[in-house]
Order: sequence, then C-alpha cells, then structure tokens
Amino acid sequence: MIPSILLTCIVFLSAIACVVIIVLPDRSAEDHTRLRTLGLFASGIQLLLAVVFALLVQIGLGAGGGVSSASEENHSWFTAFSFTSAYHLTADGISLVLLVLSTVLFFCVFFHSWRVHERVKLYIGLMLLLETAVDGVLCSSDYVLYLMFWGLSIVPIYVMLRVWGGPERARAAARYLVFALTSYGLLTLAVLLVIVRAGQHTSDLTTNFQALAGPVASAGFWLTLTACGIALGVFPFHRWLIDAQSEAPAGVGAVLIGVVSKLGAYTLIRVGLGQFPAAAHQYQLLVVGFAVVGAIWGGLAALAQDDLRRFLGYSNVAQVSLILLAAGTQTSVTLVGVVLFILAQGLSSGMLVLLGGVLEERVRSRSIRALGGLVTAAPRLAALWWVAVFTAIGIPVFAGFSAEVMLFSGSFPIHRIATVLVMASLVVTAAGLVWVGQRVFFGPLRETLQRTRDVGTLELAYLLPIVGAIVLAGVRPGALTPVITNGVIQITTRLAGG
Amino acid sequence: MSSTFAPALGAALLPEILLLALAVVCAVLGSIRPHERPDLYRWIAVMGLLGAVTATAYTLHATQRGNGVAIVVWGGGLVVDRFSMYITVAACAFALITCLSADTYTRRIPTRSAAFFALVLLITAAISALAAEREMATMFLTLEVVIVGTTAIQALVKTEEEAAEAGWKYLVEGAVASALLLYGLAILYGVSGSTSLVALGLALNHAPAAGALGITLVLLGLTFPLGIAPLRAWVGRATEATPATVAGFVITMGVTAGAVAWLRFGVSGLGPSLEPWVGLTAVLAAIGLLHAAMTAVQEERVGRLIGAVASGEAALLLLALLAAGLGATNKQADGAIALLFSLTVFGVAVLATFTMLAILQAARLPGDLSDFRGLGRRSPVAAALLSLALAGLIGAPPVAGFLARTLLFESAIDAGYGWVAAVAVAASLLLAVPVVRLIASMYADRGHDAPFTMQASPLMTRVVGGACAIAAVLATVLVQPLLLLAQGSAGPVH
Repeated sequence: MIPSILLTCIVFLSAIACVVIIVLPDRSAEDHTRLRTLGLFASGIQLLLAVVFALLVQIGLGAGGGVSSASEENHSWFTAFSFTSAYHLTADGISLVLLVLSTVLFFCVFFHSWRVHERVKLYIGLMLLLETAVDGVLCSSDYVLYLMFWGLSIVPIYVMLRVWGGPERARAAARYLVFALTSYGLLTLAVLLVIVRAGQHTSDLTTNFQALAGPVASAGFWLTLTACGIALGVFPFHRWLIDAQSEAPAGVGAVLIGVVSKLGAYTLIRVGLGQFPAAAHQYQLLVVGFAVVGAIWGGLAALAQDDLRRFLGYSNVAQVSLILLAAGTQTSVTLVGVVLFILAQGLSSGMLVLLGGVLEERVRSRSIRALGGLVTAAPRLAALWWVAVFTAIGIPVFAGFSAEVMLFSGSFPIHRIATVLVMASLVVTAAGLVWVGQRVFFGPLRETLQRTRDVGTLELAYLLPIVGAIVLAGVRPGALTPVITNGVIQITTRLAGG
Repeated sequence: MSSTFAPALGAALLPEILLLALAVVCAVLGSIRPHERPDLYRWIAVMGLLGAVTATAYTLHATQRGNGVAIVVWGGGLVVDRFSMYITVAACAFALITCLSADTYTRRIPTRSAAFFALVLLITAAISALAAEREMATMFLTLEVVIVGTTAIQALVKTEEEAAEAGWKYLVEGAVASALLLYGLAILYGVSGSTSLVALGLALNHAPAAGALGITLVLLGLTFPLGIAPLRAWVGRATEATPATVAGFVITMGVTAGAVAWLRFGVSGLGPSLEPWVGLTAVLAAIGLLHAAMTAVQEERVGRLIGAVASGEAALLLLALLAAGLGATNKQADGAIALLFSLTVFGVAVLATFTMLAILQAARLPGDLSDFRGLGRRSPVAAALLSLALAGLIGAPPVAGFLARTLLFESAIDAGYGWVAAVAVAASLLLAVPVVRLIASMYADRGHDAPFTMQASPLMTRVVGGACAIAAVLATVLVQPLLLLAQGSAGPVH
C-alpha cells in the first residue's frame, strides 16, 4: 500500500481548476483559449496520474494477485452519528480501469472544447466539475461520499444540455433531469437500507454486509438494479439517453454515453452484486431476461433510425445489454469481461459520438440518407469511424474483442439460450453499424458533399488518444486482466457465498 | 423555596434576560429618538445576541458546577440543559445573520428599525426559553410570543398593503393554530391532571382516546410555526408580501420554534415510543413533504418557490423526531443529533437564500421566475452565490444540506419508517426539480440585458450572504465538529 494523495489529486484537480476558472475573464478569443488550455492542462495531469502512477503501479504490484488496490486513502470524516463515514478513496482493478476510461475521454473532450465558441467559461467549468464528480464516484469507497459525487454529476449535465443542446434541448434536459433524479433517489434508498439494516454502523463500501438477507436484500438489489438500469439507459429506461444523445453537443454526448452512463454499470457490479449477492443470485434469470429484451429492442430500433445520433443511441442500448447479461451470469470470467467491455464500449461509443459531431459540423446534416461516399472526401474520418465501429462490434486487435469473448464464453455455459439470443441481437446491431458505415462512407459521393473537409489536426489530437487506448487494450488485454481479476475477486467470493 | 432558587433562575434565564433587556432598550430608544440611524439599533441587537451567546457559555459553566446535566427550576418546569443551550446559540446565530444582513430592509424603514431589532431580540429570547420548557402553560406562552412577534415583524411596514395584509392573515391563521394548541393542551391537562409535559406519557394510558385527540390537536397546531401542511399558507404569503430579509427570518425562526416545541412535546413529554404521536408525526411529515413538493413545482414566483422548498425542509426535520427511541439494531437512534445538525444547516441555507434574494430585490430585480433568466450573464457573482445558497437549501451535493438529508433519511429508516423515508426522498427530489430549473435558467436562457449590480446592497449584506452560502459548503468538510456539538447537546433530550 502506498500512502499518498494520488487519488485526491486525480479526483479534485479538475475541481480546483474549476474554481480558478471562475476568476478568469471570458471576453476575448485569447481568454477563451486560456480557459480551454487550463481545462486541458488539468485534465491532462489527471490522465497522466491515472495512467502512469495509478494503473502502471497497479499492474506492477497486482499482476501476481498481491494487492487489490495499490492506491488508497482513508481518513475519518464523521463518527458522531449512528454510523461512521470516512473520506475513503480506493482504486482497485474495476475502478482503476474505468478511471482510465474517464480521464482519457475527458482529456479528449477538453481538446474538443476548441469547437465550442459560446459561453466557453461555463462549458469548461461545468466539464471540470463533471470530471470531478465522475472520478469521485469511481474512487469512492464510502457510500456517503459515493452518493455525494453521484449527485454532483447531475446538475452540470443538465445545464450543459440546456445551454449547448439542439433545438429540442429543453425537453431532452427535462427528461434527463427526471430520470437522473429518480435514479439518484433509488440509489440513495438502497444505500441507506444497506447502512441501517446491516447493523454494521458504517457506510464503508468495502464492508461485507453479510447480515443483509431476505426481503431487505431483495429490496436493496431491486432498488440498485433499477437505479443502475436508468443510469445505464437500458431498456425500458433508455428514452432519456436517446433524447440526450440526440440533442447534446458532441463533447457532452461523448462523456455522457462513454463515461457517465457507465457509472450505472460500475454501480451494478460494485453495489448490486457486491452488497446483495444472495438477491443477485436469486433474480439472475430476470436480469438476463432484461438483457435479452434490451438487446433485441435496441438492435431493431437502431435499424429503424435515420438520425445518426439516435442510431448511435439505440446501438448503445443494445450493446449495454451485455452488461446485464454479465450481471446475471456472475462468474469471474464474465465480470472481468464486463469491465473490459465497459472500457471498450465507453471508448468506442464516445469516439463515435465525437465523430458524429465532426460529421454533422461538416455536412450540416444528421440524416444517414443524406450521406454517402465520404471516404473519398474525408478518408481519415472514415478510417477513424471504422476503428470505432470495429471496436464496438468486437473485431480482433481492438479492445472490444477480448471483452466479448470473455463475456460470451463465460455466460454461455450458464445461460445458453439467453447468450445465443443476445449474441444474435448483437450481430444485428453490428450489422447495423457496418451498414450505416457503408452508407455514409462508401458508394458514390454526393455532389453536395464533395467539399467536405477531412478531420484536421485538432480532431486528430482528440481522437488519436482514444484510438491509442483502444489498440493498447486490444493488443494487451493480458496486462489488464490480472488487475481487473484482483478487483472482482471480492465480489465473486461474496457471490459464491464467502 | 430554596435559597439557591434565585441564582439558579438567574443563571438559567440569563441569555433570555439579556435579550429582553436589550429589546426594551431598542424599543425605548426608538420611541425617544425615532430618527436615530438604524445602525445604532443594529449594533445594540448584535451586542445583545453576542451577549446572549456569552451568557449561554456562563450557563453551561453553571450547569457543570451544579449537577453537570441541567439547571432545573420551577419544579422541573424549566430545564436548561445542553439541548436548550444549543438552540439558544443557534437562534442567536440566525438572528445575528439577520441583523447583519438587514441593511437593505432597515434603510427603507429608518423610523421603525428600532422596533424591527427589538422584535428580533424578543423572538430570539422566546425561542431560547421555549427550548427549556417542560411545562404546557409556559410552552404555549412562549410559542405565542413567537407567533405574535413574527406577526408584528411582518406587518411592521404599514405603508405596504401587502405586508400588512400578510401580517393580518398570519395573525388569523396563528389564532387558529393557537386555538388548536390550547384545546389540545387543555384536553391533555384534563387527562393527566397536570401541566407538566413529563407527566403526560404515563397519564395517557388511562384515557387513550382523549389523549390521542389532545395530541392530534397539539401537533396540528404545531404545523403552523413549522410552516408545513395543513397550516403552511403563511409561508408563501410571507415570501411574497414581505421583504426577503424579514421572510427569511420569520421562516427560520418559525421552523426552529416549531421543531423545538414538537421535540419537547413529543420526545421529552410523551416519550419516544408512544405510538399515537410518532405515527401522526410520520403522517404529517409525509403530507407536509408532498404538499410542499407539489406546491413548489407549480410556483411561478421565486420567493414563493423558495418558501415551498423551505416548507419541505421543515417537514423533513420531522423525520429526525421519529428516530428518538431505539433504532433498528436496538441501539439508541440518533434522531436528535440529526435534528440539531439539520436545523442548523437549514437555518443557514434559508437565511443565505433570502439574503441573496434581498440583494436582488434591492437591485430592483422582479420576482418572477422568468426575471431570473440570464442572471448568470448579468451578474455572475450574484448568480453563483444564489445558486450555491439554493443548492444548500435543496441539499444538493456537495453542500452540507446533502449530509443533513442523508442523516434525516437514515434516521427515519432506522426508526422503522422506511415508507416515510421513501416519500421524503421522492419529495426531496421533486423539490429539487424547480430549483435546478431555476439555476439552469439563470445560466442557460437569455433574459433582460439591463445592467445589474449588487452594489445596490450594502457591503455587509453582500458579505453575510456570500459567507452563509460558502459556509454551507465548508460545513460538509467540517461536519464532524458540528456533529460532535449536536451529539453533546442531543443527550438530554431523552
């Protein structure tokens, strides 16, 4: 164990930058550049800390299965109540991988902020606040802290949707707010149920609340599952995500679909399975059932879309059903696979949304029908698009492949029919992604699109780090799997009744 | 009568005596020299409040020299323990914030500022005394002083028809509440044969039906000062018809008085496990929360919206009262700690919000929700501080209100009232919706482009408003000392 303030720095550096930004001017173009640079700088340091100091140290120390978390900070917060709470931050195999996903995506989105020209100070400030909230959720090992960071993420997204969204932004933002608050409320109830009924008088997330059983455990599990389902945007709670994706600016859409919604998946694993193992086991068939329905619904609905953003949203609904499948399978292999999958899917979906934004900015249309043959006018854009698509559908060398192999091989022996159904649905989704790619980039180049600019230096600056992460995770999944395995051991042990 | 009675009474009531004395000084000076600068009365009031806090420290010292628990006088009718001292200090702090930020208001009524500050001191003294009451008659009297005092303070500016009307309606509603209280207490006196609150719990076993009726009437009466349904109409009117400074003070002190009286009547009097009052408290909390939430989402005026949210907050405090007995694990539940911590956080948040509103009123910003559109562009500092204050009020993370809510929800679940906690969570989130929309509208929407300045308010008001808003964030970090203070003060409640 390394006593440090590493995680505090990762979580709060962007908050400090946000406070600094408040006093900076926001009048001229130079001011805007200064604001963006500060955001990028803070986010870059967080990325550096997360990857170099946290992840590499963890890989070094944890490869042999030695420690579950190389970085931990634990200080008492309050004790003068019926339960104690601590400022407890950890980054184990699960949260560390997602922390890397978060810092990579936020770093790229700060690069993308050079495309934002209105209310730059507010945009950068809210994005920095959001990064603190997301990283805080991932690092929190105390329920009160966890809820605090989760709640902190709601307002920035709502305001960003309201300010920089599309023509229907008010409706999308309102819907987001209602769903987000509902999810937060359900999670709050689940957490309080755990704290009170387990009788351990602590809100520490790493505690094994074995006293939870029967109806209390069932209620806690269902509250958590529903909260996470809403946050993740799985069927039937997907409408907010589709609307938000449709209306959000590309940067906000990317972090929303790539990271923020994935907090639901993280919570499902950490709290849903980790704290209510018996209930999770009892209701696993229902969870798998949701996964099957969601995969079919998302896949078919995606095929019916002409709006590129909505298409990506529905594809996401189909893909995240795999997370439910893993939650219903509950083996070590599927849990390691699902963490890898969240990483791959977060990167690919975030990248697709950013590319969708680039495309929309250039051709002034989101209609798939209106596009075609763009590979000749914008070859780099096409190449990047296909990298993201290949990752999303699980082609070897890219991050999604090993994740899906582990997920399907882990779930097939336990839920054969459901696994086949989900696989079949994902084949439909994959076909949809390839078909849309083919319609947008191949075929004859439309006359109106002949002057389409290819991606420039700025776009490459924020897209290439994602490609790098995708390829690294694709060719070296073996470096991550021992770390993730260390993280999921505690959960699988509890699921096995230990 | 013991020879130690007089010194004991003096030590017990020293803060109240000091506050009343300076209230009289303000009133007399005001009648002799009506054109004196308002600053003079403000500083007299500030000195009185600081003196009361110091006197409380002396009372604590006297307690420690005595039996170490409390100063008991009038045969147990007045018990000055750490709980009552905490309330005294909290009430003085709320009044202090009001006095320091009242410039925007007192500038408009220079001839009546002496009366304003005298009433502030009187109400503070009454709440301080209320916290120590263990006797029905004196509890009713002190509550009446609070109600009459808050009525007078609302109607102080008689040139404003709306304020006078609000004061009049408040008086009528207050009379209804007083009648309910009085009938309830009379029935309970008839059942128990004593005006002592402590004797109530045991005596009620002899006549459960009459006792239940008495309890119901008393609790319904207490919903008035607390500002929750069914007697919460005054909250909206106060926010609309009176200046923001006054509205903030009246609501904060009303809620403090209501919560303290509820706790003394229920927990200290009837006992934490007596089903009728606990069950009724749960029902009233749920109704109060839902009513406040439904009202808030329909409001078009910012003041009324904040009033509705404050009303919801007041109903939330009742969750702590449910958990005054044994908890889920047969351990003493910490409802009283949650109550004291939440009351403090609530008071600061309400006063911060209304101080910011007073600053905006002084800058001639109308009170419709639509008038706040684009405030973030016109005055980023005002918008940021108002947002922070509102975040504190709705308990949004990372402001201390979030922790207060967590403790209150936990208390309700611990007491076995999971359904009330579920209603409270839902209502809290519903209350948050219009406030979040207001905050977003300040930044997202385009509004008037007319110049806007906070300079219309005195520096002191701006500093106090900002400090309160920031204190709400700092309290999250410094929660442990505050909880320790609450823990030390909550013990004597049971």
